[in-house]
Amino acid sequence: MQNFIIFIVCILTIISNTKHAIAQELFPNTEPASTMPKNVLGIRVFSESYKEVKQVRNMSALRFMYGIRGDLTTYATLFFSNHHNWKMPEDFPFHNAPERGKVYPFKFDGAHVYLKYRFWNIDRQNTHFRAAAYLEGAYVNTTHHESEPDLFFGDNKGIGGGFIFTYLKNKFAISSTVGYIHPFDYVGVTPDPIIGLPDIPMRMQYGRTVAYSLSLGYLLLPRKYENYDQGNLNLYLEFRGKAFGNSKVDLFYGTNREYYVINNRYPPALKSGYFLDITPGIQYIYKSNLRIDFSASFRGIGFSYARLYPVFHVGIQRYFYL
Amino acid sequence: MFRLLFISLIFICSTISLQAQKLDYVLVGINGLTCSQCSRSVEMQLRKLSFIKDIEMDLKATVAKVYLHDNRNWDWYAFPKAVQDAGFSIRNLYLVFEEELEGEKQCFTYKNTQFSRINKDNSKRFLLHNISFMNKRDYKKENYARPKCAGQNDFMLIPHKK
Repeated sequence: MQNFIIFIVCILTIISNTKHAIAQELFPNTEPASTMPKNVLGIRVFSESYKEVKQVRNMSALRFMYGIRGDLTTYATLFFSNHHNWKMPEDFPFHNAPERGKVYPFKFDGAHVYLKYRFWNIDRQNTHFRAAAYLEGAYVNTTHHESEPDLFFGDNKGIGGGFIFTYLKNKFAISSTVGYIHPFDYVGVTPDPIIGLPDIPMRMQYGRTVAYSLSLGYLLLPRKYENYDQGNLNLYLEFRGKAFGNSKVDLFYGTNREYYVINNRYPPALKSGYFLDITPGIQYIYKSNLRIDFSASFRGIGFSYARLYPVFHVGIQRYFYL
Repeated sequence: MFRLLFISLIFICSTISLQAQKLDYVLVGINGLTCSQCSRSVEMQLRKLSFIKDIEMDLKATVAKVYLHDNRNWDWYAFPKAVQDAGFSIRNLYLVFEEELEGEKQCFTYKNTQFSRINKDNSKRFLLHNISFMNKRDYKKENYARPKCAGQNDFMLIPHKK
């Protein structure tokens, strides 16, 4: 906590002492309130990985971004991962971390669409405040087996929306997002623990969730902008988290033996919770267009059962001016 | 009929077509720019305008120096629209002529656009005083009386103070 206060003091000192420079808000893992230029196509490839026992779990995604208008941007993302098997794990829903370390196929998980509308901006020279609203929807039919849903990184199907506020002053950028996620149910099967018996049809209802983030960005290089060929080096610190409700699991779903597991039988991963991850990151922008990000998420307050820490993120992105 | 003709003659006499002085370039100040990628986006949106010949971006001052094709029609309102399409706002727009405008030409036509200077101060550089080309705060701050020769739709020009 003391280190965190020192960090905030340092950031405030930087804000008050830097003038006539330009800030960065191209956060690696969260969205700023700014939108893309009209009729510009962006392509982003990004990935997150973490170690689970003796293997690496990886989610990779291909995102197409397009500026419909100067204040309206849309994204379409395709997700691929080795996070999930074709069936829910054995021991689900009674084990907290079922099939930990088991090798799953790397497969296509689904797609996500996102629409961001910038509804308010106060622009000044080298300074701006912006507010945007977003809507998102995902069709990701995976056997995600934790209560915490995730639309933006390819775990669940569902819809969501929220608001983003971004402020820049000189070399420093700060942005905050507050959103709601309404996950849709997953209907599938889980293997019967008794060998030889058929799979058990089940339905999982994930927790309704409030997602929140606070992101800070600082332009390290160049000290003075002169031309587009100068490399840009940016430092970021993102705090990202969620508060989610309980899951509900129906076993023998759709049969005359259907029942749902009562709340106190659930393991912690299926119960309500909250967390706030800390994600420092670094970004290099080549020739004012090609953007390369590296960041890593660490446990802050509480933790996410859906990933194991540290989670490493990498992204590469480019704009095409049509 | 005679009265209408007389008023028209007065208006024509007071509105001198500016042929001698040539526009050298336009300076477009952009607000809200946050990165070199953002400056590049503004430049790419401006370059889509067919009457723009060349652009030099000053990344530090966030100003675009824009050269226009003489032989094409200019659309002044395309400047703020292009900046907005890039996701930013126009701070100001200056017209910079090759030579100083002579004092007596307070209202003039240039490339089919009516301009009126707020006074006869000589200058090469003029701020376009119009709500579409400035942020609201600066527009309200600069409050000038329209010269008598100015038409209702004239673009008002404020000489740049040296």
